[in-house]
Amino acid sequence: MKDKSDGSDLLRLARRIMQQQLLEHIPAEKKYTARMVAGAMAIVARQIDRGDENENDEESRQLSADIRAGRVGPQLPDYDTVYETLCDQARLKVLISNPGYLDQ
Amino acid sequence: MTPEEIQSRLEPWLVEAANADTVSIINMEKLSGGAIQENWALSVAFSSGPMAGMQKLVLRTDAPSSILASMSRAQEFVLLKLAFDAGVTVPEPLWSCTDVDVLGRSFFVMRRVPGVAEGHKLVKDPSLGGDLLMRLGKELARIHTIVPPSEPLSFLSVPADVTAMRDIEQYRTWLDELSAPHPVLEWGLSWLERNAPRSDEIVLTHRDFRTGNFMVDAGEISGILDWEFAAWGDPMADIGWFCARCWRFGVIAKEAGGIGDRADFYRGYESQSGRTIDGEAVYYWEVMAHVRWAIIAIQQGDRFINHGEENLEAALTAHVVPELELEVMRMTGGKS
Repeated sequence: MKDKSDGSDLLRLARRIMQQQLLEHIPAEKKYTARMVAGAMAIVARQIDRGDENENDEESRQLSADIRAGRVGPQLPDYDTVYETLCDQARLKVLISNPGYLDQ
Repeated sequence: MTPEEIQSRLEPWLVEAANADTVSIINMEKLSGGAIQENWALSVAFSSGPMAGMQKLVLRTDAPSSILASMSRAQEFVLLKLAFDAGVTVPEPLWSCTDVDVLGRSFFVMRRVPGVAEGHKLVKDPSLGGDLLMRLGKELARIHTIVPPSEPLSFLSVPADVTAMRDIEQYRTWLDELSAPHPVLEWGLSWLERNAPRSDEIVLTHRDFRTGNFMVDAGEISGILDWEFAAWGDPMADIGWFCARCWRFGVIAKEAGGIGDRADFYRGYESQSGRTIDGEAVYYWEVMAHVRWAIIAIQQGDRFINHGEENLEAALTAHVVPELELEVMRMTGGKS
């Protein structure tokens, strides 16, 4: 069976080597770029681990339209459910982009 | 245009502008940053006239590929002049040129001020704290002394008394221009609409007054930068932008720009302006700040995702959106 984390492990290894062995040799004016590359690798590794969790675009589009049109408001029945759903979606995305944020 | 071309065209223009006999650009160096503009650090020798001697200047031009909406350099120059005259610490604006025959695009020249602007460096500097925040509060209050109507600023339209609605409508238009739906930001905008305050006063707001956009030299503010988003608006909007969690560069506990306590920043602002800062209004504008920054970050990421621009920084900027969205949700719970 192919381990799903193959790709992310490889990427993490490459990233570690870049940080531990290459970064010190990169000239000062390029260090920021190198750190961005390392950052991008970390994000992609987490993306691979968590799988493609893209929410349903059509549902999101409808929900966006409903919210804008005032069909989801504090006095309406779905309000709390929508709130919880959106919080969960936001949290899931943070787990990929910057999980450390959740500890702050 | 190559540096040599800029030099050969700019020198005669500077002779006229500075009323000097001869002008030599001794050194020029492109400054980093500026998706919208190009900035060059110049060391210029003026043989005579009011600028006689060696001067450190900045040349600020429109970038060749300007994709983001922004005011023209001539307009930015007018703003800088008004701010300078109002006693705001800004690099002194010297001359502006709208004749595109000179450099192929409009530009202006200002003095170069020393110091550090990078947010991640400033928030790590233990010598910075309450005093700097007091000063920043006063600087912002001075910006807010500029009020409409203002003939030189006639290019800025004056919003109705619920200035927040202008922003909300703008951000909805921007969201509509993006390919993917963004329900969290719609949620945030809906909350902002329901809670929009009446702006009792309309003043010149900087709209990007935050850590990263001012220079600090030896503990003192040497210049407030980046005026291209300035507009008439609610004074509390700038306070919210400055204090918003997303502009603390990771130093979350220091609520005023990652540098220190709100109390110091507020005290500086209140003592200079005579206004009392309304905490509830600032909270509102902090929600607005997260929504606004999220949409701008999505637009930046879009340059890579949908327009294929090979810009890693812009691509990564899109990855701050989730935490901004989470913050919007955290701040807008409850039944208001």
